[in-house]
Amino acid sequence: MSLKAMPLLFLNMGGEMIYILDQRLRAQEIHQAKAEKVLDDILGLMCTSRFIEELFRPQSIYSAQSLRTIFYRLAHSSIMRLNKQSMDKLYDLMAMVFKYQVEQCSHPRQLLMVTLNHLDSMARFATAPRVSKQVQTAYDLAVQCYGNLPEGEMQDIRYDILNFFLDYRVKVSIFLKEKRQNPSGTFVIDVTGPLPEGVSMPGEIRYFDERGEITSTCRYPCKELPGEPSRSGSLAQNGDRGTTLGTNIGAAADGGNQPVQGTRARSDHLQKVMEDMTIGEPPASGGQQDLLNMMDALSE
Amino acid sequence: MYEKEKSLLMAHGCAAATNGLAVQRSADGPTWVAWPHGNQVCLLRLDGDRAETRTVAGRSSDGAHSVMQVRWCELRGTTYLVVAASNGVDFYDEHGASLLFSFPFSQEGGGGSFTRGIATFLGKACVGTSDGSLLVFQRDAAAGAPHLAQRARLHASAICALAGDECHLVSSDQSGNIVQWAGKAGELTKVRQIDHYGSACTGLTLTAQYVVAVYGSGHLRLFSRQTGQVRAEVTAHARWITGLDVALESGLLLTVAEDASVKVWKVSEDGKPLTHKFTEHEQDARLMGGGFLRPDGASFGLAAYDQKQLICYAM
Repeated sequence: MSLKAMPLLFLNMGGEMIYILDQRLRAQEIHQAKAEKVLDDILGLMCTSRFIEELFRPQSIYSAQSLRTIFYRLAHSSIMRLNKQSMDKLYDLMAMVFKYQVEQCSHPRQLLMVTLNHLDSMARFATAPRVSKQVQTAYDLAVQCYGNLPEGEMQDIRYDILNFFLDYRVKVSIFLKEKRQNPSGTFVIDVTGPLPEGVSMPGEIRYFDERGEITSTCRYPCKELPGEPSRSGSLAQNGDRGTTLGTNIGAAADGGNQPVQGTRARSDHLQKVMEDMTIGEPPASGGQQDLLNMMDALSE
Repeated sequence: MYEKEKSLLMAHGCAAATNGLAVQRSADGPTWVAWPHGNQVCLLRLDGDRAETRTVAGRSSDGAHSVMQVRWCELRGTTYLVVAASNGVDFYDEHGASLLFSFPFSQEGGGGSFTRGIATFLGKACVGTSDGSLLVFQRDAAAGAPHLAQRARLHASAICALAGDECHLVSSDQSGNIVQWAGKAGELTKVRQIDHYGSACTGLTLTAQYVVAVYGSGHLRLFSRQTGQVRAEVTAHARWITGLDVALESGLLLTVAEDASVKVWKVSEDGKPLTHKFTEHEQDARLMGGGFLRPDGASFGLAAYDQKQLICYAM
């Protein structure tokens, strides 16, 4: 198994968590300053330098229970409070959206593009300069760690993540509505997009003689539609990734508008999620240490 | 050419694993099918219309280790269910009832540690590793247990696939290189290397004249076993190829890929080396392996990630 899957698992699910929380904060018309503080607190903790260092250390994927516990602690590290049922729904949504994104990758390298899409968005949500800087560090580490990884190794990581989500099947209403998920819970596979880099349009056979010279070519029947040329995803911040996987599916459901702080934007698929989310007083100090202690304990 | 038949239900869904499906075929006895699920192996016994499932629990009970691939290998007249896992290689009796021998494997460094690629060659079981080694297991006597006889290291990156017959063993790696081996004085010796084409070589098989290789780039290539020269190249799939099998009786070849399609080809030992015979798209199935269920290739089964159904087709 790969020892490099944890950062991708955590940062991408964390990115989905931020999208969902932002939409709920807006839907519940939480005051802008408080909403910014919630997101800054969570982003700041997620990207604490010691936490990120621990995350990027070569290690096996955590158990599903351990990862769930870390996200629960993360969600409660801010002034936001959720009951267990809402927290479970939040986690299920984060997990299923990321599972969908990993499965839909047309090529192993696209998994890095999905991650950078999430990190771009996290950078946009960060308000305090300290938090922006922490997100930037996480971004740079992701590029450094995965930017030049061979495709075969990246595919091993992708399969490890898919196997982390093996048997995990929750129906997501926006996916069902947009026909991205079947009633059985399996995802709809779409192979109509651009061909991945290095992949040629199926349909041709070339024959060679013993000297390596082409002697003839022929076509065979193919049902695939002609694919447009692929765009190599950019590693630059806010660059063209060649995919929308990892961007906010909730924003697309709202008509493609980027989230705007303080506006009313109800998203039907989130109506049942975190209905009872409350924003309270700042927690007692030590919340950050608890999460890091937990990471230490879990990694022993 | 093929019609879809009723799917058969395994105990658990197939893991995400290239060449995930294993088939033990016989002309007149039951057919066995296996695939990995977490740290377990799911088995299916097919006898006419009767299908029974079984689950083999992996050696390690924690979720940190997983089965990468399974195959059946015959060593000195005894058939073993060989399991390549992330923490080593396990030999079970033919139908997974008991664990007979384990070889732990771990690799230092941050790249990942696993075993993957299983083939029988000269009565020995060969298994690949994440550090590019081939582990060769043999039995010295009819009553003896398997043991590690040789560790051959020629690949510079993780092994993806192995295939073997009476003359050669072939191995491929994540960089896309293929090594052809012969057996001399009981040991593996390199015959030649077939260089990469820029993409991982994800599957291998052998016909009388050809080394057949499939790639992450969706290409299928046939190389001469005598010279290593490429003789045919196909743009076969639009995504990573995840399964390859051959029915030597009929020369039929099966490829499956993450583009949710299965294709059947005919390999000819004279004339055009390869022609296309059949294509089918499996709705919403992220295919992870495929295998002929009969030696003549008249039927085949497909495995899809996270789905319990063994998807079946027959002529």
